[in-house]
Amino acid sequence: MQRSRLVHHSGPLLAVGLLAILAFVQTYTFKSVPAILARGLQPATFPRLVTGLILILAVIAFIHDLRKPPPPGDALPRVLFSTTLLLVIFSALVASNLFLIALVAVTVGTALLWGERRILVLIALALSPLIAIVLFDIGLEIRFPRSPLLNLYYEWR
Amino acid sequence: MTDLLMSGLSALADPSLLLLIVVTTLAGTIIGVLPGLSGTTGAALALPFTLTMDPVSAVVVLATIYGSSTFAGCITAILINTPGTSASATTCLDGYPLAKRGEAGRAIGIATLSSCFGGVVSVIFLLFAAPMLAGIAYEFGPPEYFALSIFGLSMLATIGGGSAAKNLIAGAFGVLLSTVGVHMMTGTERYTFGTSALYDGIGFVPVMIGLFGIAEFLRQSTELGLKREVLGMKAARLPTWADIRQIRNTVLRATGIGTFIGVLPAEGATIASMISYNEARRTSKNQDEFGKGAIEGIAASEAANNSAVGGSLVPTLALGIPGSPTAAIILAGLLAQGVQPGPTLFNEQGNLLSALFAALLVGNLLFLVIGLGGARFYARITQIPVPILWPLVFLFSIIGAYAIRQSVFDVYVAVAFGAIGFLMQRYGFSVVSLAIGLVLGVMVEQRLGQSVAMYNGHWLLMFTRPIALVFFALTLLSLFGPMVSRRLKRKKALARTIRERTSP
Repeated sequence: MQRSRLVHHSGPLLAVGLLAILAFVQTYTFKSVPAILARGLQPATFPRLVTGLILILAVIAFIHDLRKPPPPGDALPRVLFSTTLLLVIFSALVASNLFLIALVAVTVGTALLWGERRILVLIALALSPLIAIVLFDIGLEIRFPRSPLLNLYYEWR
Repeated sequence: MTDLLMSGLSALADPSLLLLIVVTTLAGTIIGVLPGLSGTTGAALALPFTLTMDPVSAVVVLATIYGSSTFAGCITAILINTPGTSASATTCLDGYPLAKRGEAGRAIGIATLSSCFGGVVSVIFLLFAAPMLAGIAYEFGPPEYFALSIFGLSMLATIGGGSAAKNLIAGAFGVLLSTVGVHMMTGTERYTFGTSALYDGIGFVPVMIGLFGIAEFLRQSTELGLKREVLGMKAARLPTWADIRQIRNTVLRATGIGTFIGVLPAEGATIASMISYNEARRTSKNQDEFGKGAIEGIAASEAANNSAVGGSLVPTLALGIPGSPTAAIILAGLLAQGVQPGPTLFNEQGNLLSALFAALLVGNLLFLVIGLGGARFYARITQIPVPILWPLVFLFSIIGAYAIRQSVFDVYVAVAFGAIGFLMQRYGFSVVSLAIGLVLGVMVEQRLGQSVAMYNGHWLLMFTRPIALVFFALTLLSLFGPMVSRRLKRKKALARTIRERTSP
């Protein structure tokens, strides 16, 4: 029992602690400035205070949580992982300058993964990014990142 | 104050403003009834649209979405036992049982009237209290603002009812994120890792869209099998005089609690409704009815969550300290429009404030029409299949995140914070705390720096300033008060047990 509590509570708080330590160490790369410019507070001082506070709070949370039984474990469904993978693919497509294709992939992909099978609905979802982009372009004059498909639209405009 | 009220009412003579209020109230209601979509997400998604508007229209859009989505949560809470927003979670407890008994129309009527009353009273309070608080804020210097923002952060401990330490960790991480970018005072790069996109810091709106929109998108994928059944309902109706007599005191008390909780930095409608519900149960003559369809339970929850809306805008407008997560987005919207909240706002932006008051007032009165006339229609909206609705929410989240600075980097930020928000919720860390920490972080560091400079490094002198001292004392109270109160209660209970056992 004690072991499972330790495992359950230590994971996320360990990650928090580790992040805080990394952030604290990183502050030593910040440049110091002359006292007249710093006006009493060097650029690294405040982040150090905050990361120190996070570490103290992580220890308190860990001690506090140890007294509580771990909540009943609920396994995450497989569809969550496939949705997350879709987000990774989306990010990769955006990084490859394929913004519109990335949006189409994620809207249609999610609907398919989540059980939508009606062709007309999927077609409508596939068109929705283009409609949204056109609306934002015309209505709010927002220019989206150039990509092969969007270039055709912008040239047509 | 009277001038603000009069110009607020005259602002309503503008048909385009009136139309905007009606349209955004309807849009906010749709957002509010859709489970998973909160007013915070709605306001975050609407923010990019407001950038091309004039400041008055922008603030009207954001404020009416906030008010109407908070109200609309009750419709689904009563008809499908799923709160449209977390602020209506306690409405489910009595609203759904009452609806199951075939009295859905009565439940909606009570919720609507209580919401309307709470909302209108809080707007009137906002009208009077915000300029007064702004007047006091003229006395504030850097130490007072620093103490106030620390008090705001300390209030995060009680947010959401989870672990206080974890809530504070999330808030502190928000503060840490606010330090990313080029340090304003010295020009030093911090946590930029050589990435030019980080020089201006992490955008608040992409983070909010990630934490509230994309994290919820991921969470929805874990609930795909969930079936929501809409209860049948005859027309909603206004409460009878007997009902009004029964809920009268509860509504008044809940409105007071909601407005007060709303004014406190960071605390919003959800906590207000929880406290009011418990208070209504504690003081009710029909305690046994609670959880089985007590109309006082519905009234307490709904009057409180709507009155918290006006209350939360008081510190937002007067001090620039958000009273709730959605108020933080309204604050971001104001800043994006070049409007600086604080004492000067009341002298320089009278027309903006009067339009805001008018919008909230009209929005609250529209609830009567929407609640009584359209509840059945809005309940049907919840039947939009999840595989159609949420890909579209994701699409608008991404476009919204991109549109604010037209930066692809902000899209990555939104997606990353979506994943972070999902994990935070799973492990009991409050995403609201992170968001508010991010907003307050800049002010905390800036005011601390100014205070230290003001006293030539002798920062302890801050404690000699009476107003700052009050806020520091309140900070200690909010951090340790609940712990001390729990210990005292435990001691009392122990003493009672010993007395009972030892008495003959």
